[in-house]
Amino acid sequence: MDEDDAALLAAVCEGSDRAFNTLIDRHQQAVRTFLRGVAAGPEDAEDFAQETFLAMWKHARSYKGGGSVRSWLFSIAWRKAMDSRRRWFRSQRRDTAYHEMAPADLDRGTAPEDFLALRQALGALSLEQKAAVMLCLGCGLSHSEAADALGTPLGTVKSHVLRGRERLREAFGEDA
Amino acid sequence: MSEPEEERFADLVRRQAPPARDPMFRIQVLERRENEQFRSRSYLYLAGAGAVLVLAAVAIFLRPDSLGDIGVLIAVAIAVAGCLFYGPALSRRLGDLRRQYLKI
Repeated sequence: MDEDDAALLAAVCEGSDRAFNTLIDRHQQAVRTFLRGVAAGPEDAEDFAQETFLAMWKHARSYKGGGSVRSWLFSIAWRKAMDSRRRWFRSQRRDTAYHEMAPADLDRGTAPEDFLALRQALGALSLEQKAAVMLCLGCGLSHSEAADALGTPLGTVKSHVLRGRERLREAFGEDA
Repeated sequence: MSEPEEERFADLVRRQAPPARDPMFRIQVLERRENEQFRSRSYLYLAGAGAVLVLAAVAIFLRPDSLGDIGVLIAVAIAVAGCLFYGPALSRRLGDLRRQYLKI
């Protein structure tokens, strides 16, 4: 039977490597997926994801147990992405983010146009909107979980997602 | 019911997602953690060595001639060592107590 995330995090507080490894294995995909959507490039996303789990190791005691451990990890990841906000606005990097993607990042069965459309749709959103859309539509979090993770009011998250939906409709609408 | 563009977006995000099991990622995190721990241990030892040097300089300057003076120096050395090695753990415990009792 799977151990509860909170119990594993409590074990991390006591220095358990096994619990730390289990939490990484359990949440790395979600955290990295989220960061790939909000970071300027795949290299930044990987870097932030590693830093997120390092922060989990160092600050496991600061988890208060209000929300899920996954939401807490998303909130750390979000702060990491926000810290590099200035880098995000370097338009040159943003515009070439697609070209910087390693071939392994692209699924063989998906047209590159789709990825470009996804990048363009996300690129039209502000960082906060992008994060809300990635969490709610990409990672399957509820609006309230996303609000917890982003540290923003529920209504703001809802409006971000609404705006994101409009952008996605514009980006995908014509060829859907 | 989700809209078609939402489904398409979720599908694209899934396709871009890293693998569910990725031992390499875990190894990279553990490697970074080891590096950080090594760095912080190095700083700790450096600080310890610095403290020993300062104490030695003070001892030479004061030229302790009584057992009492030597005792004071040894006590200071023990206090410095205690702060260096148990300080972080003590501050963590105090933080826990603060959170527990103030319900932060």
